Amino acid sequence: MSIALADTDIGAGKVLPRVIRMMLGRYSGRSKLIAGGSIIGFVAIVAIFSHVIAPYDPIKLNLNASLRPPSGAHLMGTDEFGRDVFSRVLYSARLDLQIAAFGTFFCFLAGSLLGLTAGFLGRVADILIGRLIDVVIAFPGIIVIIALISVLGVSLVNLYIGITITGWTAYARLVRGETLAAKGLPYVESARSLGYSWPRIMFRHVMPNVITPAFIFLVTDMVGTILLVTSLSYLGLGPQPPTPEWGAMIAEARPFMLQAWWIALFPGLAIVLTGVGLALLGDGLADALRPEQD
Amino acid sequence: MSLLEIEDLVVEFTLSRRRYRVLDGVSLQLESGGTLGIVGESGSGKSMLLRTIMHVLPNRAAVTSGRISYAGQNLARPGREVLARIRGREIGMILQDPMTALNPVLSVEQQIVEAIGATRGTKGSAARGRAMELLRMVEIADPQRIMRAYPFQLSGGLAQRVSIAIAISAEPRILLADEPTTALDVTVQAQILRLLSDLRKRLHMALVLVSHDMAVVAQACERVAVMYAGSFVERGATTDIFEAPRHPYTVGLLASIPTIDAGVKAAGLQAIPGTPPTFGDLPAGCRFEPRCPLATDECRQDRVPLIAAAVDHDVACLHHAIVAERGVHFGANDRPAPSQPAVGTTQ
Repeated sequence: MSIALADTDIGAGKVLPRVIRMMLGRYSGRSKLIAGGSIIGFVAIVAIFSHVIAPYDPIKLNLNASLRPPSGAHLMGTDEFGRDVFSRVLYSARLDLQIAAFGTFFCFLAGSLLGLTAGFLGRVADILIGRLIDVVIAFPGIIVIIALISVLGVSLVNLYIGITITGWTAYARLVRGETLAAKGLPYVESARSLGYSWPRIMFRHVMPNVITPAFIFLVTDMVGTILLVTSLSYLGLGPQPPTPEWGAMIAEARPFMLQAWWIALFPGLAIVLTGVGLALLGDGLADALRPEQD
Repeated sequence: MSLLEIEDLVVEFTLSRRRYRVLDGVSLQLESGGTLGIVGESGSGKSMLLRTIMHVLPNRAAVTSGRISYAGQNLARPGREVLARIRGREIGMILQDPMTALNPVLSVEQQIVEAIGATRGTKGSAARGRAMELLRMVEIADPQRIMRAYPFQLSGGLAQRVSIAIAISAEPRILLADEPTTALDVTVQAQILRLLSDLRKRLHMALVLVSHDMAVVAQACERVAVMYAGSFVERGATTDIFEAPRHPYTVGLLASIPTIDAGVKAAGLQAIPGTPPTFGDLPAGCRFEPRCPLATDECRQDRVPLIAAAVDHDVACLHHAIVAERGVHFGANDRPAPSQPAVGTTQ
């Protein structure tokens, strides 16, 4: 484990996915795909139907029932305000999955577009985008997001802006490299010799051929985004109380950690479950979509 | 006036501040409906010539002087709208490896319909009908099925037929074929060559066929130009060149074609000793001089221009009269030659 920790470049957000991947490395692609798909499917269904499944209102206070341990009435116990932890964990799934999906997708969109442009147009576009990538990578992502949210204010939109600004570079580098390789292939030359315009060649002919690696990375990257978002909201920069959110729930549970372990444990387990599911899904997809690698 | 005229074309590559002349003073004329074969070794600049005409040169290469005119329009430095009018519509091109020349993620139908839309403006069911017609023109027996296929589901021959269908979708007046049969099986090669000849007559297209294979060119072209290290060394009617070659290089190329008769005799199949010069280090005089058994001091002085050696037969050799009279014998004269491979794009 210490080796995995030592060679990580940026913060805790990147360590867990790597450790998880190390542990899962020996399982075959198809079983990873099935296991990851089932876990994420399960989490997604729970998230979508959280309002049906949840036995209690996640934000309704009930001071008579505060800090109850897990029981038949409260599967995961209650927090200091008597709110049902199980219901809060379920509702959080909806919010966290949504932020992870959209946040990662915006990174994918912006990064792929910039990488495609840099690789395909080359010259000035490539130099400019290349420098921009260097600049963004030079800053530690989470610090930039914290600074940004402190300036712009705490809101979901600003959170998305922060995630996108710091997270697009990996996609840009991936897609740029693939585009450089594809640009020299005969089908691009055929397209040019048919008189197709460059936007048509870039988007219709090159893009579908270079987007797969970025798409695979999108799923794996969602693990990082979930951890990033929960870390940020643990620091109070994510969705604000009383909105249930895994990171924020753990932060709120901190003073009661010794007396009421269940308040922090269950949201933590939910993060781990989602992270493992996404990591499995990403690895499985990578194996399934790029069979030429092995 | 000829349909396509190229005069003194010079194309240079710039790599780490050095310039490499990959085409040096190339001139040719192509009549409407005519056929021209360009032969030469890998890296001699054949493919580069086609790319220059089509204006799809790599980033680092550029036309530095000379003239290309197509039906009176300047193609050496074409404007955007001239290119858009000519590429695909007036001049079509097919490439060596049909499997990579088709986009792997688009179906045959999508690719043909797109070409028809882009070059002719036809859309929807009309374009689909035209696509079927084109596939029938390239003698695909089951166009319905092939339309739905993706390139990886096609054989090499089928894929080349689809590429040809795409290239002729706008019935261009010139078809440029860059080693169209090299990647194919021998039996399929013959079919594709015959198909190209038939289509050319039917659509009254001019054909420029680039190949390293003299036999392929002999089958399909009335006229031949032999390229060596970026320039033509001999050009003329195919029959003249095959029966009475006047450049030692052409003689060598012809001698290196295996034939059933020659195979029996030890001296029948000859190879030209040495390798072509690299573009960074070209000989000052005749470029074939280091490999030529007839080379004299004169050959090392200046570039040797193409001159008319006979009616409609040009050759760039000071000793063409000796070649015509006595022939050339390679092998005995095994001179050392630069061993690095030549700069080029053909694999």
